[in-house]
Amino acid sequence: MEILRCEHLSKIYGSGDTSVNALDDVSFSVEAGEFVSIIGPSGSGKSTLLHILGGVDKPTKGRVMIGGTDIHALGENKLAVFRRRQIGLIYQFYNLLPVLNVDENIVLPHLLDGRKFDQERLDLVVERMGLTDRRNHLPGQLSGGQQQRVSIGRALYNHPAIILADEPTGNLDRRNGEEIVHLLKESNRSQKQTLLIITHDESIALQADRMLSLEDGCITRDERIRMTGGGM
Amino acid sequence: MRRNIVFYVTRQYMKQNKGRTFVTFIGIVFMVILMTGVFIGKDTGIGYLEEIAALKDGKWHVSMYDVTEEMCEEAEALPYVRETGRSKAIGVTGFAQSANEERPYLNIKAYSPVCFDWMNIHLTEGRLPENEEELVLSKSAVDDGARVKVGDWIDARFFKRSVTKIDEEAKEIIFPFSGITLKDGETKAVPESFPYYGENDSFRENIEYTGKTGRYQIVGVIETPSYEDPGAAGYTAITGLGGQAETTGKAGLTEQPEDRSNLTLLFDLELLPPDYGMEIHDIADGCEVDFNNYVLGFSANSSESTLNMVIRYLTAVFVVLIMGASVLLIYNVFNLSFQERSRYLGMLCSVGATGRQKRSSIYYESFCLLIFALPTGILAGIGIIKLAMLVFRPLLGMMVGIQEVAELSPVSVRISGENMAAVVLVSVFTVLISAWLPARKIGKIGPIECIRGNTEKKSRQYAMKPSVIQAFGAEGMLARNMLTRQKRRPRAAAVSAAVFMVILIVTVYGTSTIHEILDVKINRSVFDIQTDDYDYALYSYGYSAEYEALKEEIANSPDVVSTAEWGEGMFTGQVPSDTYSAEYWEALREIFSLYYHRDITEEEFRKEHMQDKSVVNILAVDDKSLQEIAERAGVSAERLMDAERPAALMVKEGVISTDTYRVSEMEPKRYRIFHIENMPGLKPGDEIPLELYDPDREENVTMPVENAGIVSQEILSDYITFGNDNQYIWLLVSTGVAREINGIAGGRKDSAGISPMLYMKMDGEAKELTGRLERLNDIEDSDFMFAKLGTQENLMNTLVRIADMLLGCFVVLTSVICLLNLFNSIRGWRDESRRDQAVLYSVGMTSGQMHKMLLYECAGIFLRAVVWAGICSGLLYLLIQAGVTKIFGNLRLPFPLAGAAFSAVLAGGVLAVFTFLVHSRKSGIDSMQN
Ligand SMILES: Nc1ncnc2c1ncn2[C@@H]1O[C@H](COP(=O)(O)OP(=O)(O)OP(=O)(O)O)[C@@H](O)[C@H]1O
Ligand SMILES: [Mg+2]
Repeated sequence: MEILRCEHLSKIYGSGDTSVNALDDVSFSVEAGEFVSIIGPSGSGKSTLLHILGGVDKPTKGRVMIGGTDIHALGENKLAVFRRRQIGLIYQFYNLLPVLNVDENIVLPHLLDGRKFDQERLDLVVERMGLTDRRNHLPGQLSGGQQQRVSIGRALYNHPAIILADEPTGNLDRRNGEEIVHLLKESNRSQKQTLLIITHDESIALQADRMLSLEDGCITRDERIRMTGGGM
Repeated sequence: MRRNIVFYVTRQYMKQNKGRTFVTFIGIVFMVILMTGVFIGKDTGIGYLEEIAALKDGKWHVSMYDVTEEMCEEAEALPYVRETGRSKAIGVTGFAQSANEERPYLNIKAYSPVCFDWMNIHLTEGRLPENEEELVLSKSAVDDGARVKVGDWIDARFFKRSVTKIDEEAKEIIFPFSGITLKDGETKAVPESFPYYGENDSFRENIEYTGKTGRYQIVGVIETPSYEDPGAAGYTAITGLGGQAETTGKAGLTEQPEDRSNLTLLFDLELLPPDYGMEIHDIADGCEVDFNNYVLGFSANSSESTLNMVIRYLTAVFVVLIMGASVLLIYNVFNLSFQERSRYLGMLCSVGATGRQKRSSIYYESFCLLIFALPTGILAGIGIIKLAMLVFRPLLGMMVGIQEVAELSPVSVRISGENMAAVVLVSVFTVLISAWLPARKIGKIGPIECIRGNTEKKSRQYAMKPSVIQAFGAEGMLARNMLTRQKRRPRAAAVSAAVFMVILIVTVYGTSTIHEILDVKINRSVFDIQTDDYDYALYSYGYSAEYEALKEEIANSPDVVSTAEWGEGMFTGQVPSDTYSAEYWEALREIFSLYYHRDITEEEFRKEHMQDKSVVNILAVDDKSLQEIAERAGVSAERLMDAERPAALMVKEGVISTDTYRVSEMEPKRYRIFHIENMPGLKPGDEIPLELYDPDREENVTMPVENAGIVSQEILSDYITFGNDNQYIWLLVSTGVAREINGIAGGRKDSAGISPMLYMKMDGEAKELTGRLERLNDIEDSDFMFAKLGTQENLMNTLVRIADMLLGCFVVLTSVICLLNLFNSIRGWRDESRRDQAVLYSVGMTSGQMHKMLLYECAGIFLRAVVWAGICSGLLYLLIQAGVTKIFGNLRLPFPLAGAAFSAVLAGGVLAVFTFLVHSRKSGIDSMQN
């Protein structure tokens, strides 16, 4: 089942002589439950693509369909609601609100949705992320790897359909980085969440089901590495 | 290679943060404008007021009359005397060319050159006299048709004037306006203002030639001098003073002996010592001295020292408040841009910048701002002063009651080395202080904290609060945590909002305090009779025959529309102690306890301190007013009017304080004031055994007066208001009863009888009548005093209004600083929250939720600000209260609750508006680009 499809995406920053063509007619689709890695040299437009897919940035041209909805045709509020229910964004830095403790950061999207939080499930997620003794700390008091685990915990707890991660392991050592990818993969497997990861790390990229290569705003390669776990 | 990398980075930083740099710049400019206003504006305003005041009586400061040559030399030698002028009364001579038969004389005076200017002598024709053979003639003579022209010569033969009673039938002839009473066959000298009556049956005017003669050439015509009496027998003529002699007419002498003259002084006000008045009086050695308080008052040098204190106090308060607000603004800017600053400072740290270099970055930034802000602020300030004077000029003239203001030359801004230096120094000092505080802090921050932008070192735990989520949702939880877990960010905004409120509250409070001070101190009156309907008042010491004669003349004058007659009898009577209520005695006992620094028991008080008799004050109320008061109080007016069986109304409330009640030389433990609800201990219908001292019999005489009723001050407020130091019962009686009382206690100038006050309303200007009445004041040992109502008040009113205006400008400009501060703080706060906003956006917060969260945050900041402002303004209130009480004594100044509420609402509104303004400009996709 196709969950995400983008058609002829273009993104141009600025205008005239100084304009930058960050994305140039990008089209592809992703199946539900797929684990896709996106690679490419610096400045090739990976982050731009992810922002557009996540609905925090708008494409200059083209559209993004998620679960059959053109997300950029939604109003601002509907898009925000859509984002908190369907998408989990993870960046290299600054995923967390510095004033919220671990628990609060994890349940934030849920709370924003006006729902009551489930203490049991929260305990479960926190435990799985190995943060049980840190749950009352603020992000500033956590290490980079711990912070990243909190953002993954958030994605797990909230259970979005798609997780978009932009170099989630960028500032971590190999062991910690692998642990993070492991956790993401696990949620991808067990919860059937679709996972898109931007990475510079080849070993991580190769763990994906599929690998997209971006260069100068264009998809230059689309390789299937292995069959999706639950796909077809 | 850059010469100084720290300065270079700082400049880059300033360029990148244009908005903030600009707001800070504007803030400093406003501070400099305010300082310019305080120092240069004050000097300009005062100078201008002096000019205005000088229009009234001239710009001289002190005049000494009839002084000897030695006295003159002594006065001229005083270090603070800048310039002196002399004048002398030459004498009175016949004026054959006069066309007005009631004015057949010339009063010739001599002025030294400066006096023409100082006494407001203006030429209408010709030139001023240059020697003692030339003279200028008053325009009144020419207007009357005198047959003279410029260039003519006048031969003078001086004489002395006197009057002799010739009417044998009349007991005596009274000239009330001149203060002369002629008995049988008596001859008395008359002053220069004395009219010429021609031949009549009652008295004869005598002329006695002195032998002195003179020949004068008329070289010019002058506007009639303000001191010339239109009813006087002579016109004014002024010659130059050749070396020795002359007069101002004030003393009213027709001629001065050769060795006496009048000396007029102009001071160097900067050098004036506070006790100069004493010194002048000492030198004058009993001769008449006249202080031009109208001019002196404005430069804080009036003989009334409280006035000077108020002006100095105000200047100090202004400077302190402006500095406080400015320091906060600038400090805030340097302090709150911590995160951004920490990036470049972190960079500097990591390449090994020392604490000193980091500090110098801040000093450099403030220096850059100051170097441009200082001249901008001073120029703008001077411009504003010019503009303000232009706008206020007609207004000020109106206040002082002088129309000539319009003709005054345009205002020049008074810039002196001193006031300019004060502006620059205070401004530089303020900026330095504001930079020093954050510089000290930032110098201490290490590289790690700089880079992480996080000074959190404690490993505190922060628990989730499900109850908050329950009650206020995710937005509430976010707002709460934003405010409580990251205090530094919103603190600046809260402080700014609090400062805004405090400044408003303090100024509102300050305004009412200054009102009170001026009211109580400058216009300290025990009671005030409502005299809005009247223009002038004539005061006399008793209901004497002269007074009655004057009163009749006034009442019959066609110029007078209406009159009212009141009478004041302070300390006139005594009553047994039980006339006062227990409440009063209890308060007095406590006051004694304070003076003796121990609790005095009732018994001891009764035995040791309570006297059998106590004072009562008496007020004779105008009959018409008394009738109305009686009606309002539900008392029979007829009963009060009955002089055969005297009755009085007793005033209900009174005030007693450690200030008004002094116990010998002792110092009270602390200041305390009692507002007594019921002064009288008697019921209506009771008899008041009023004791009066009869100076002829030298004993007390009891006059029973019936207590017709007790009236509250509220009922009386339309007629009389009582001041804050009325510690004795007031009895209100009719004029008839007052005369009865004076029959025993009055009749002498030094007796404690009732002194009548005759208020009158004139039809138009009535120059002649008022001129004649005014001359009563010049008579030595006069029994009368004549005054324009409101003139004493005028100076005070003007001051109060000027103070209000200044406070208004001050509030506006300081508010601008405070608003800039608030805006800057909010910007800083929102800037630092941008990354948070991006996170919130990415996890799907809608803008509605964002607004709700912001609103919660605002509410939190506001509450915090209210608490801080409450504490600060409360403390300031107590401080000012204590200071004011210490300096000025008993003032009743409630906390300005309405002003506080208003400022809170304003601050809350501004806070919310600014927050959303800043938010709407910075929201959306932009916030993602981190
Ligand atoms: N706000 C912007 N304004 C102008 N140009 C931009 C903006 N954001 C990104 N770009 C440009 O768009 C291009 C793509 O940027 P993008 O951040 O998507 O690259 P990337 O592939 O994520 O690089 P990296 O691997 O270094 O993160 C770059 O050339 C960048 O300079
Ligand atoms: Mg990127």
